[in-house]
Amino acid sequence: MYRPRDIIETIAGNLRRTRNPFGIPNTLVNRWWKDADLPKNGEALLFTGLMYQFVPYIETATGYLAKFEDTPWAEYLRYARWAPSTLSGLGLALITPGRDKRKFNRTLQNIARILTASRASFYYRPELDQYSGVLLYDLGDQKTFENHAHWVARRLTSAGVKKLITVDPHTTYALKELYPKITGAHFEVTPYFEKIRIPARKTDRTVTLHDPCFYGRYLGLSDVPARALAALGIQCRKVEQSGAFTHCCGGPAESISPKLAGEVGGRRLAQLSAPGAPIVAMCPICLGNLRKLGADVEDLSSILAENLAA
Amino acid sequence: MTALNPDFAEEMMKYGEDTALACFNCGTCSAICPLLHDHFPRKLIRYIQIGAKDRILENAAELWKCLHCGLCTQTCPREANPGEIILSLKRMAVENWRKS
Amino acid sequence: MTEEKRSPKAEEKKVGVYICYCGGNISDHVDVEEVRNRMEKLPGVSVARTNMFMCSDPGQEMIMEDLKSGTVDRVVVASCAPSLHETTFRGAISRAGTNPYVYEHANIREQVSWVHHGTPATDKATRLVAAAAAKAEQLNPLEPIRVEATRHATVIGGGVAGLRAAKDLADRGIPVTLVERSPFLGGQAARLDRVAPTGERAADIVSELAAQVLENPAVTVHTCSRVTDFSGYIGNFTLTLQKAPPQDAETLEALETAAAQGAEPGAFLPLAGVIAEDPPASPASVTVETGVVVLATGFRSYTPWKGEYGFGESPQVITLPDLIRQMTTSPSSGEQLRLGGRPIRSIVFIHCVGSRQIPGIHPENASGTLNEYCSRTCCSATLHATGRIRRNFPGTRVYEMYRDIRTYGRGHEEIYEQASREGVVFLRFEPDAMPEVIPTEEADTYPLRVKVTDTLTFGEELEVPADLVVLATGMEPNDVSDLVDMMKLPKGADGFLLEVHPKLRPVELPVGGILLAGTCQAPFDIGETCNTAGAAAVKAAALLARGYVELDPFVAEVDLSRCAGSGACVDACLNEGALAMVDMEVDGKTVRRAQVTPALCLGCGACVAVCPENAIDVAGMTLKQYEAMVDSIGSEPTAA
Ligand code: SF4
Ligand code: SF4
Repeated sequence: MYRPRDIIETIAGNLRRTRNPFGIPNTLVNRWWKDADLPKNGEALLFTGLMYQFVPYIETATGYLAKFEDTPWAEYLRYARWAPSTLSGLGLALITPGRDKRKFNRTLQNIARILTASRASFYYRPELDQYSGVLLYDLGDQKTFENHAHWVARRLTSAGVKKLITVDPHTTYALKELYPKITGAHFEVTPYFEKIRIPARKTDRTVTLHDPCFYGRYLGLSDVPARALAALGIQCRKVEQSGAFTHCCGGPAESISPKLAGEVGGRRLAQLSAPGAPIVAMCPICLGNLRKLGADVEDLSSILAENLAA
Repeated sequence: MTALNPDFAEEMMKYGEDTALACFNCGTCSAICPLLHDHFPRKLIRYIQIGAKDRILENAAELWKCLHCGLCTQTCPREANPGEIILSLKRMAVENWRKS
Repeated sequence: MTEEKRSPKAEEKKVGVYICYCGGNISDHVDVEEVRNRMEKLPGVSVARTNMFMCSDPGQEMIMEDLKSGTVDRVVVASCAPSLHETTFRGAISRAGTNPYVYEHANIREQVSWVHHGTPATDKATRLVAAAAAKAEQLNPLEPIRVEATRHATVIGGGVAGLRAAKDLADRGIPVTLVERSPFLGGQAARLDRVAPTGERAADIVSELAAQVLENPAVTVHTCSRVTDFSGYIGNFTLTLQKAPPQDAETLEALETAAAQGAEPGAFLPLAGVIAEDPPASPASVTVETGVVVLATGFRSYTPWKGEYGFGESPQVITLPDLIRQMTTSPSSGEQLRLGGRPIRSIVFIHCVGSRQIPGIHPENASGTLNEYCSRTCCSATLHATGRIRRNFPGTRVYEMYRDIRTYGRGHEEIYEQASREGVVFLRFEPDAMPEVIPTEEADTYPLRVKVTDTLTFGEELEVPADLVVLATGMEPNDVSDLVDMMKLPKGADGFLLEVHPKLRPVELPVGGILLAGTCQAPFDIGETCNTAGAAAVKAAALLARGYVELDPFVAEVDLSRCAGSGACVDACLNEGALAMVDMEVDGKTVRRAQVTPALCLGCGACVAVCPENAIDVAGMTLKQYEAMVDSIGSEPTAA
């Protein structure tokens, strides 16, 4: 286990300096839109919150952290501030494989295609699409989170943004529940799967859905994706813990203790594997952690996108 | 021998949660918590109730094991919001580090 | 599972034997069908049948059908203990138009299937049922004993239970005498402030009830009175009351306060109750003729022994009733609670004091007993008090040390939650590790420290500083040993009066015509007390409604053709007045012979055993019937 204090101060420092928790310039991280032809005007701003874009970097960084956890090197990390120099900034960007980055870009492109096919009125402006800061909230650094949230909210409001379409549960929760309380800015926040209106194709696919904590419990939304799949003729198998009682994937622990994240995730993976159908997640943290445990997990968006390619 | 410090529960209010005393120590949260770790989170909630602030700070790193997954908050029969209390303790610990 | 085989039998008695499976309770261990086979081969038995539940409607109807069709003319049911269902089956026989006393019961559950297994169980059941059938052959129809009943009820005790029972009886038009030992009505409830779970003022409840009783012309109230003599039987009791001027200091002080305030009868005096009448100036005696007696003698609060949690050693250790009393004269809100001008920064409440005592852990009390029961009301009362203290005095810290929190009633768990949300801190101790109350020496700190091994904190030893320690004392029954002796009342091991059956006859005593109301029976809260008092009133009213009462006819009968007037039976009789030697005409001569007063006879048979002439028998349990049973048991068991 790593000293939370070191991790928090590193992330907080990065976020303050670069608006990015890893200290990597957002322009370098957020490139998925370049090959997609996205509308510049519309009703709602597609707000990815950059979480999907971060996953490859988190995987690389935690991969290194995992290697040294519970070894004398972990202590070294603390003194040498190894984390800031190696696990942040351009260093991290360079050691992160491009293949992984492209995989997650594809996810976001799928989501844009689904929205277009559903005739949702949306637009994208990369300079408005910022990280929500929710990790700092979860880590208990309320001050840094609040400062960052004010900055993001101001940017959005001064650009006249009123409606947001989100793609992951953490960003959705932050914008929907935390921002109004902290910044006073009220956006109409809708996860993309609430916008789906695509015609069903004949299919006998069956999947196992992993409800993320924030959709299943905090926001009470887990029946929406299941209904969206059912509308397409895709069956969902029952999981031991789901909906309001869903079981965490373990991902949130990975920056502090990759080992713990693995233990918790392993228990969840056992539950998800029991029904024997392909596992589908809808949160970049869940995807990352479950895949790291060797599971073959697909993102909800790719299942939905399959139905588009008619 | 530990002397009780009733002021700590009130001090915690400024970090967000004032529900620690609502907990009646049933242990449901510890039974459901995916961490399966040493009475977590009830142990820490009990430490707030008896005002064992030093002990919480000494072992503050423990707090970050919490995934903030909310299962405990969902199942607590007293609506004591244990998960949110752990988050409040993280805030308290962070503020303490920064002050020191 | 019902099979029948009818063997034609001429002029014999026709015994029907009905054997119950008790849904497996019996049939798992007793081969019920085998017993049935054996029974139907017995000479006097005309039919033997089985049923999954004989007490069910189909089971009872089966018996009624056989009676109506003339297949049987006397009945044996083999099932559970007769205390549970004897009356059920007698009722079924009555409904079939047959005399209900041609009935015999065999207990093959408690006495067989619950204690034996396999073949021995089946064999023992066979013998018991065969013996019952043998007795049944000898049974004669009997008529219940009818006694006139005085349309009047006496209620002993003027607390909430007594007031409620008196009012309910009077509302049904029954004249009532209410007897109260003290000068006040309201009992222990009058010493409370606000009561859980509703938060009503106890004074309001007591005042309202007392007014209803005092205004009702059907009720005669005797305060400062005790029952000193008791005789008679259901429907016809005679009570002697002694009225005397109050003696004890606390009562005299309360009366002085009342006089100083110019309180009239009917007024409520805080911590004492409602003054019903002026106390007598000199002793007087009153005789009451009554049909039923309702006992509402109530409870007293447990007094801790000297040194129990520092009680009697530190003035800062008091009981919950003490605290309630002290709080009535202190400001009702403020930053900190103040008692006698002293600010209270921190209070520790300790639960289960004088309740749930465990042999080997808790010392016995003066009478060599332990209060092993839960007093049921102290948890809610304490939580109600602590929540209110926290709300009204935010600067006073409150701790509760408990063994278990038992907030069992509707609205009670909410009191517990409310107290938690008001900031009461709870600590839990094991019974063999009681908290230790330690006086401190330093003048500038808290006068007491309470040390506890707290199971909620994983068995750590914690220490709480305290200005006050409050002991949540439980309930003990009032000392009614005089009534117990006079009326021959049964007491439970816990010292409370004991009902016939906790569920089926919850307010009745085995002594006919005497009923239970309130906390003389068990710890109850005020609501439960009113429930039992209402139930006792209804039972009493039902007993008196017809002007007579019917009693079971199982009483001694003298065979005058045999009685030689030895009088041995009268000497042996256990219930004074049940048997007497009287002069009577027999064959034109005046002789002294034994005579039974059926309403007083207990049917115990002590007289039967001593009569040298075999001239006395208990109806329904005659020597001849028992001989038949013994012969049956002694004979070779019926083989399959
Ligand atoms: S579930 Fe709630 S009441 Fe029970 S121990 Fe946990 S926080 Fe306390
Ligand atoms: S929120 Fe934290 S304490 Fe609560 S169940 Fe999840 S991991 Fe355990």
